[in-house]
Amino acid sequence: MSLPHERFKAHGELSPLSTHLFSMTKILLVMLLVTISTRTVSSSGSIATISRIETRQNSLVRSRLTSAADPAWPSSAPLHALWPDTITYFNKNLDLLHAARFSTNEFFTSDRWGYATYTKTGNTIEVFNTNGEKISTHNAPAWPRATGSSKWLLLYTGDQSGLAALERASGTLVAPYQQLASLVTATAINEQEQSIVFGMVDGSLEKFSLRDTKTIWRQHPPEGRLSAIKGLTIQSGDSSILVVSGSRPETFSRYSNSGKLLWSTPTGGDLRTQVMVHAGYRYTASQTAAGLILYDLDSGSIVRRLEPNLPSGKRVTWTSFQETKTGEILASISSGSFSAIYHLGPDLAIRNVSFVYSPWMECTLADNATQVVALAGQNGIEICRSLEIAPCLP
Amino acid sequence: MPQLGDRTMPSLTQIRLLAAILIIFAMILPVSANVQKFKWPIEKVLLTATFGESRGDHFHSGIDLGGDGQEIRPISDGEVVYYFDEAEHPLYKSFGNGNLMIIQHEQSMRSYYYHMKKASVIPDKATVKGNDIIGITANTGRSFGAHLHLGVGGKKGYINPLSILSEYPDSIKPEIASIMLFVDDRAITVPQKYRVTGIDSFRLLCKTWDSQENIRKLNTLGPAEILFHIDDQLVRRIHFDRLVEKNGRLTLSDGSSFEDIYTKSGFLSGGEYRNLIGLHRFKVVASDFRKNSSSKTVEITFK
Repeated sequence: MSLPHERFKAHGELSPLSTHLFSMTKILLVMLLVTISTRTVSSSGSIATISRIETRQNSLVRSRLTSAADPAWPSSAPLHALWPDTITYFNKNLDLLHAARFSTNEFFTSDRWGYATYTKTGNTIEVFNTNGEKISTHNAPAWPRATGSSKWLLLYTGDQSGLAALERASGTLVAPYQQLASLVTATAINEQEQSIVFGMVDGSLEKFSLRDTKTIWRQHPPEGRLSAIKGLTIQSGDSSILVVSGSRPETFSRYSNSGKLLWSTPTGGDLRTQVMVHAGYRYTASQTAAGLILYDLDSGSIVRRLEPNLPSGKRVTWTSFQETKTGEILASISSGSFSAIYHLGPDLAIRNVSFVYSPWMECTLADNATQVVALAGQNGIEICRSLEIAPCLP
Repeated sequence: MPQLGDRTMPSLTQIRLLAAILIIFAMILPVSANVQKFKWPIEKVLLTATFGESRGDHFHSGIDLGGDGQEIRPISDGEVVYYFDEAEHPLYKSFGNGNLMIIQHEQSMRSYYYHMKKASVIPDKATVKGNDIIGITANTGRSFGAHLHLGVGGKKGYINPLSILSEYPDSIKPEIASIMLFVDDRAITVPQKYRVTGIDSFRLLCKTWDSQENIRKLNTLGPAEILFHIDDQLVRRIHFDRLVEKNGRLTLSDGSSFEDIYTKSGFLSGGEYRNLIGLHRFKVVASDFRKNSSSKTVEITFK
């Protein structure tokens, strides 16, 4: 699969100057789309938007467009937003709970339940809750990546440095660091089972119990295959694990209890690294260099490709996927400085697609019953009344 | 009619042809012998850490090549199996290994390149050639100075990269700083002749390091092999040739774990001994990868 700018080159019809002008035109077109989108929102913003937080020159500007008594007001809290050097948490009224800013030698990882920090020259990880209260401190040989759930925080780092799990509320180390022979590249937590699944750069996949810190099963890739687990998630309902693997990627699903293969689908010869894999109720989605591929969760058959052809001409670096119980889908695809936001109906037809000037966009369903949507990006957070009118970004 | 001698006696032309073949073969032979040698990934090689050194709770799985801003090329042609560049991920920072690339070569061999500069790693193709630049040396991740960590191995486990790279100048012997007895959580440095009482069991330790012409003043390199002898009998050989997977962890090829080899303070362990009585000679021999070696002997009388 070629990238957009490679396709232009392949035709051999455009000179470098023409290509440059063409790219500039594309960017201007997208800026125009953003403007149109903004105007559309402005005309209906008072209806669509419940509340909004914007970042303006390192300050947060908050506006409440409806009252908290509105039945569509989000019930889930807290809300979590990230900027390259700042973590912020808000309550459901969008009051700021906590904000933390970091220097270049401080590493952090965060999710909606809290965050963890580490200094480049230090040996300890400090774990905080959404109010900024320190929960625990742990020795760690290297700065890890983290995967979170409401109960657990999973920390994993490079080859041999291993993997550990914390109970989030108490800070207890439920699974002490265990060393691994290979580099961990993807993890997921099964909260119901108190287990985790992790994939490694050698292509193997392992399920591990947080109750007794023992391996439940381990699966190795077929001999000779160029494998590396790129991303994985556990399906809603915890019945299967969805994985993207290989330098010529394939997406496959394994039964959670046995590790046996449920289905496998090649996704095309494309080069990718950090890959988001998203699970829903009927569909799963995996990130590719060009966008998102949606699969049927039962069969693995590809049901839709969302490839917005964003003007950066770069690989997709960020995706999010949200499926409601009524079958509607909200998804975001980011590349370079732009993001595309899709709203698909239960029939998977595109009802709306919008472009925003943000290098990432996280779409979450803040309230499943009322379908209130939270959209977080570089420019701020927008709480929208429903999927139908999303996105309603400023 | 051809004579018998015509067939048994080679003509001058045949002799010349044979000589030419021999000369060509002789010219090819050294190349063939080096066919398994791979290229160094950077031009100005400064070895700052060796394979198997202690990293607190695990073995160092590769070698470190110091220097900032150097272009990195793969040790051989291959296919990119995995890479991470934080420049591609707006909400992720690089972790312990920093920005990295893993390339698969022939016969399931992989090479690992860590701590590279942000935005220098992103490849534009799935396969790389030996002359392609795959990144720039830097100080990302768990790194205390700009360097390239180079690892070489299979899907699991690693070999000493020096065993497959072209030779690196090193004529300096390792230095054995001390031989120690570890008793009751305390390391006792042993003088050349030593008399002790009341020691029933102990762990034999040594502190050693290696140097190389370019980095002599720093003395930071680890040796490639350490031999422990008691009374001229070899009791332990530590050979940092490869790290293999055993029960999900990396051990030396003889199955020794990190804790078997290193103390918490980073001293090398020659094993645990008990109930030694009388005079015993303890000898440690340390060698680097180029077989430069040195030894140290102490005599201990146990009462």
